[in-house]
Amino acid sequence: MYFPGCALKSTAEDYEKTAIAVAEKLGVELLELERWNCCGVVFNVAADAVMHHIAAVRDLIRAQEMGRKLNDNRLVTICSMCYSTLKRVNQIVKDDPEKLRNINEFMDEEEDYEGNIEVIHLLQVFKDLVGYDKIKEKVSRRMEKIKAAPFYGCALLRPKEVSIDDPEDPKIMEELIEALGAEAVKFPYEIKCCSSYNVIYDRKITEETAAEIQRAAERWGANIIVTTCPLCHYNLNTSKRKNGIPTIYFTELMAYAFGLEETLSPETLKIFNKILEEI
Amino acid sequence: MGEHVKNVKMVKIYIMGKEYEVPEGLTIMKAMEYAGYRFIRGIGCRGGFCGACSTIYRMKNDYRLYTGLACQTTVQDGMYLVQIPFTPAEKPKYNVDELKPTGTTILSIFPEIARCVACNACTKACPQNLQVMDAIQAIKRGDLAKAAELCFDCISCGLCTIRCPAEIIHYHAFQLVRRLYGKYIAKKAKHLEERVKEILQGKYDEELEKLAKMTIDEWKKLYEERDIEK
Repeated sequence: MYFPGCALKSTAEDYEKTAIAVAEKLGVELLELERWNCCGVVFNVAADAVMHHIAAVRDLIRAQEMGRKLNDNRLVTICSMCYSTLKRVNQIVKDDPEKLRNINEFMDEEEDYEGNIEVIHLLQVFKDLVGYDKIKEKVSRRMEKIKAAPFYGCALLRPKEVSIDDPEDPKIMEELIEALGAEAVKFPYEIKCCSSYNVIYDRKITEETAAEIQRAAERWGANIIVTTCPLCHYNLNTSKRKNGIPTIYFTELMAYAFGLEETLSPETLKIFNKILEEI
Repeated sequence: MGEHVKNVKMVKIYIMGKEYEVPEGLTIMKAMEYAGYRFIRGIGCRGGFCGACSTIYRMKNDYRLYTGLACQTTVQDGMYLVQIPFTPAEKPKYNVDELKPTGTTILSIFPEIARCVACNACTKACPQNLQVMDAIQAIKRGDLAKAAELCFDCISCGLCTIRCPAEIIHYHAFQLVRRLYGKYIAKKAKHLEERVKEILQGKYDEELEKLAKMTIDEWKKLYEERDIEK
C-alpha cells in the first residue's frame, strides 16, 4: 500500500510518476490507498496536540482497512514530510495507549486504529525488499558522467527514533546512486535543513540556505543534487542562484538510469542532456 | 385544535430553552409553527432542497450535538433545539473566466482549507450525508473532479462551516469547485450547445411571444395538458 500525499498529486507530479514507474520496473506494485486525507503535516511536537494527530491516524486507519484485504501492513510513503508525520504519529499512538484511546473515541465514525501499520519510505523498499543488486541489473544507460550529491534534509533522518538510516552519516541514497552506476558525491551539507517553510515568511533565508547547499555540493564535484522531499526540491530549485546546479528527485535519476525517459518531464530530461553535453 | 389532536401522543421539546408540548411525528418546522413561531427567515422550500432551515439539537443524556434540516427532521421527546438560519461568511468575489481550474486557485481564494486537520466535524454535521472532509481534502490535492463529485448535492446550509475548527467556508468553496469543474473540466454537453445556438438564432421567439400574450387561464390549461416525460 502506498500513501501519495497532496504534494505528489499537485506540485510534485513528476515524483509520483517516476516513483510508480521505477517501482514497477523492479517488480514492486505501489497500490494507492483507496481513500486518504492530507497527513496533517507538519508533525506537531506539543505534548497534548492530539487534535493534530487525527489526520495521520485517520490515514493509518485507511491503511488498516485496505491492509486487511491485501493481508499486508506496510504503508509506503514517497514524500519525506508525509513519511515523518505518519511515522511519528504512528510511533506516538503505539507508545501511548491513552492518546490512542482518546483519538479513537473522538473518531467514533471510524473503526479503531489498532497500531499495527508499519510506515516505511520508498528508499527502504528499494534497499531492503528489492536490493541494490537487482537495481544494478535494471540499469540500461551509462551513468558515470552523472555526479549526484544525495541531499537528505531533515524529515527522513530526524529525530533518530524514526530515521531511515544513521541520522548523522546516512548512506542509503549514496548506495542507491552507486548501484545506478552514477558517481555518488557525499558532501558535508547532506543532512542540512533546506530552510523548510521559512520560504513563506522570508525567501532570503531560503536563497542563502540553497546557495550554501548548492555551492558545497559543487565544491565536492557534484553536477546534480538528488532529494526525496518535495519541499527541499521546491526550495533548492526556486531559490537557485544563476548557474547553480539543479535538484531532482531520486526516482527521476532511477527512471533515467532504467531508460524510462517517457516518464521524465522535458525539464528534467534537459537537465540530464545538459550534463552529458558539458562533459 | 380539533378532536383528533387529543388522540395524538404529545412529546416535550425545548425551543431555545423553552419547553413546549407538540404532537409526535411533526417535523421540527411544523412543531415550531404549532408552538406559535412564524417564520420569515430560515425557511424556504419545505422540501429538503434549499438549505435554509438548518437546526442543531441535543437529546437528553447524549453529549453529541446533532444537526438537521427543520423541514426534514421529526421531533423526538426531550429534544433541545435551535435554528441556525444563516452561517456568517464573507463571499469572496472572483471572475471564473480568469481563473485556472487548479487546487491552488481555490486555496488562494479560500486559504483556510490548508488548515484542515481532518477532524471530520463537517462530515458529521452534513444533513445531506456528504463526505464533506474528503471533498475538502480533494481540493487540497488539486483533484477538482473528485471534489465536485463529492459536493454535488451540497445545499449550502452552512452547518459544516459553523462546525469547522479550521474556519473553512465549505459551501462557498464548493460552489467555486463546481463552477471551475463545469467550465473547464467536465465534458461539454453537445445538445446544450446546440440548444443555446437555436435560441440565439431565434427559433423559439415566436412561441415565446405567443406565451407572453396568453391569459392566466390559458396558461393553466396549457400546463395541465402538457406532455409529461416518463
